[in-house]
Amino acid sequence: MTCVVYRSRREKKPSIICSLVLSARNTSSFTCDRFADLDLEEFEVQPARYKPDRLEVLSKTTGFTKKEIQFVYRAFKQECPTGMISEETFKSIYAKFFPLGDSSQYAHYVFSTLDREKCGTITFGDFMLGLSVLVKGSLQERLRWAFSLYDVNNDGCITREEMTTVITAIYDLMGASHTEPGVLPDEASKDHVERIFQKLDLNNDGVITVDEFIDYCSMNEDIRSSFAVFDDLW
Amino acid sequence: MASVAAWLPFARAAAIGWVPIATHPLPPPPISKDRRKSEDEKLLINVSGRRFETWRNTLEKYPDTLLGSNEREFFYDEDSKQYFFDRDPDIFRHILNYYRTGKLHYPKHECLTSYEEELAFFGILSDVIGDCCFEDYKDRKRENSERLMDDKLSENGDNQNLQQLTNIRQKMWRSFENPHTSTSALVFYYVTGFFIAVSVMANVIETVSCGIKPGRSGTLPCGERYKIVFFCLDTACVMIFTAEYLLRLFAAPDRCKFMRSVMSIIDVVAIMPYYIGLGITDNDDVSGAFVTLRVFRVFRIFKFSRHSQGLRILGYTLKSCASELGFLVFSLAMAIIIFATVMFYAEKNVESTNFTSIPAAFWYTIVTMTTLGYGDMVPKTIAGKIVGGVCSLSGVLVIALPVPVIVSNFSRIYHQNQRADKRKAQRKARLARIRIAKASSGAAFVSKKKAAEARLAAQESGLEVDENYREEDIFELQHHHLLRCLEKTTDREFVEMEVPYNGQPKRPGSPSPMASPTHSTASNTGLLQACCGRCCGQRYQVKAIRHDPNFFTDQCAPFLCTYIYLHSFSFFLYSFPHTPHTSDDDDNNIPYTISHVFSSDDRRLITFFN
Repeated sequence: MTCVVYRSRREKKPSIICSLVLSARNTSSFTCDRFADLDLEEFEVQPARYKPDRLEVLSKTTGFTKKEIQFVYRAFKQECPTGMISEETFKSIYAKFFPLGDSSQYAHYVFSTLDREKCGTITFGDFMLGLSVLVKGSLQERLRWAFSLYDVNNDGCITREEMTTVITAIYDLMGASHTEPGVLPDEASKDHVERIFQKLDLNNDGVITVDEFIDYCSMNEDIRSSFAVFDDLW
Repeated sequence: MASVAAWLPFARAAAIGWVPIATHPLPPPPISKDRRKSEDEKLLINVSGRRFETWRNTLEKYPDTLLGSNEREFFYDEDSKQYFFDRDPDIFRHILNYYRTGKLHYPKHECLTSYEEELAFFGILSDVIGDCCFEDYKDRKRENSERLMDDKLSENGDNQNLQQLTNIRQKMWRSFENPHTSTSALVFYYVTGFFIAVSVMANVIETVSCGIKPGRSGTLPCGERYKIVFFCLDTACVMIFTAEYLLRLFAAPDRCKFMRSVMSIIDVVAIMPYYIGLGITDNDDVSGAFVTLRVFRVFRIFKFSRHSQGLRILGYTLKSCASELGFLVFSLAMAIIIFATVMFYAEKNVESTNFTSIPAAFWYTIVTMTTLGYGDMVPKTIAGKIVGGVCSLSGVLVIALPVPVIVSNFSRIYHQNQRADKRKAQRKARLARIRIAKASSGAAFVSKKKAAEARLAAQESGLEVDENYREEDIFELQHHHLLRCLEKTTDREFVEMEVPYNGQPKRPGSPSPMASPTHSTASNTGLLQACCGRCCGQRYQVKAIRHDPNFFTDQCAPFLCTYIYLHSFSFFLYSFPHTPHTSDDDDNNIPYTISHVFSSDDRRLITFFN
């Protein structure tokens, strides 16, 4: 499906984004025309705006009802009037949910998982797609999403370092209160990583691949039931 | 937190990332599938006719305000299924925007107090006003509070005038500070002013030449010729000033503070030279010092600042502009030094030059920068002339810069003072107008009461009564019934009294110009007057009403009790149980009646009515 999305982005350097020009250049919604090498004269910088697909189309692609999409879009637009959410806004939203700890790292990983093309901003369309995978996707898809959360550099396998960083970020969400007395925070996350690797790394090659990950998680009853906890969100 | 409530589903969905690494199974979700949260609905808010609609979630972002909490249910109108508020819709717009955007803005054209009232009503703290509007808000608030303080001070000042001052000291201090309070204070004020003027004039005339020195060359100043006269004049003035100073010192509530104040220092400096001069003999060694001391006599002119408000404002302005003045002086000093140095070195090699040293060049620089240009020192070299030109141009700039600041400060303070005086003058007129309005409404009340009584009496005597009661009549009826209940409860009744024709407050004991036919019935007038004079303290407020509501008088109580006029439907205040009596005196010539409500303190008031 390629829907023609009228999209104009604001670049990091102030440059004029002439909507007519860009609409000529933009074709598919999945390419990332980040850098307009058209540097027209310095008029006033118009912040880029993103208009999402039509509601019916979005509803069909993501599987949510119209009301649910409306509900989410209103909140999205309130927070990000331009229609695209940046990492800072994302972090601030997460900070409100986890006030005790430092949620910036975890938010960064979630953001980069959602931001497949690594643009630095997530449009509403991407956001809804990600949300539909998380809520309405099959177990396989969700496991893949979870895998990509841990696979920071997107190379298809999770190394110990990657898992350590993500687990540390998750521990940071709790704040200073999470460690048991006598155990250092680094120690706790290292132990955790070790335990995970022992369980998941079946061929003991030091990395966890996608298949290992999915196989293990599909087999494990606890994990499957825990996944079911997040089935219904509204 | 509710502002990000809509994001929570996403956060929860993203939490599946924790599942693979979870050490324990995750707990089941709190809300079961069946109980779906009701979807967001729109609320209709009607504010004085203007309709606003918003989502419920928007309002619930701030649950500690009126709109965000259950408190709004009190304003819910079942019939129209909306929330109705009888408040200002223009300001409500801003309040609703606060819920929508999270920022509260303060509209510049709105009155501060009305805005604050709305905020208080809706339970929003003024701290959440956004940064863009906060400065303005704070400035307005400060002006407002200053104005309120001014009003309160002036009110206190007025009230103090009514208080009995306990001792001489306080009376004297008050008359020194406010010359308009009593005639003796005014006299004192003008006398001291006169003597200050005389003293200053004497100082000036002393130096005018009156003739030729006998046997010597040069003119003879008047001071030398009429030495005795001037000495006597000086003595008299200094005696008056000394007496004044000592009296002020005696009357001051805080003597140390008084001695440290600017005015008292000026006073001391004004009279000290005389006493020091008395002590010094006409010795050549110290005569130089003696002459210097005489210079200080000119400070007497500053004593005028007690008499002139403009001078005080000027002094206050200079004080408040101290930083700008300091900047001016500093920048001038810098410029002077720079230019003087350059001039000196430029003119150094000229023959017999005036610029003998850098300090000598200071004089030239100052004269040039202030564009005076005396011409006593003039550069001769070309370089010197160029520097001189630059100096005069920059002088204009440097001096012109801080001056507008000082001027605007002066203007602001001056206008503030004007405003304060204007406000005081307006207050009196305003209060008077308010009293008229109250009196006329009081008159309307009394006439309605009388009509009600008439109706009641007609009803009782079996006459036909007009049954067309309008809405307000019923209200009035009930109101009067309530007052009657009160009368029955307290065994007292409301009294009507009368003021004389010209409306002036009458002192007790003085005859009234208006003789009323029933005057004689008040045979206890004397007693009443004496009684009234004694116990009608300052506490109660009396309104004089006339059937023609244009007339009014608003005088405080002590002067008001003259005689009671019995009206056909008049009621009387008794301190002992008494049956209500309605006499049928003709009420044709009752131009004035006062409804007189006594305070509960006036228990000793006894009125007789036969």
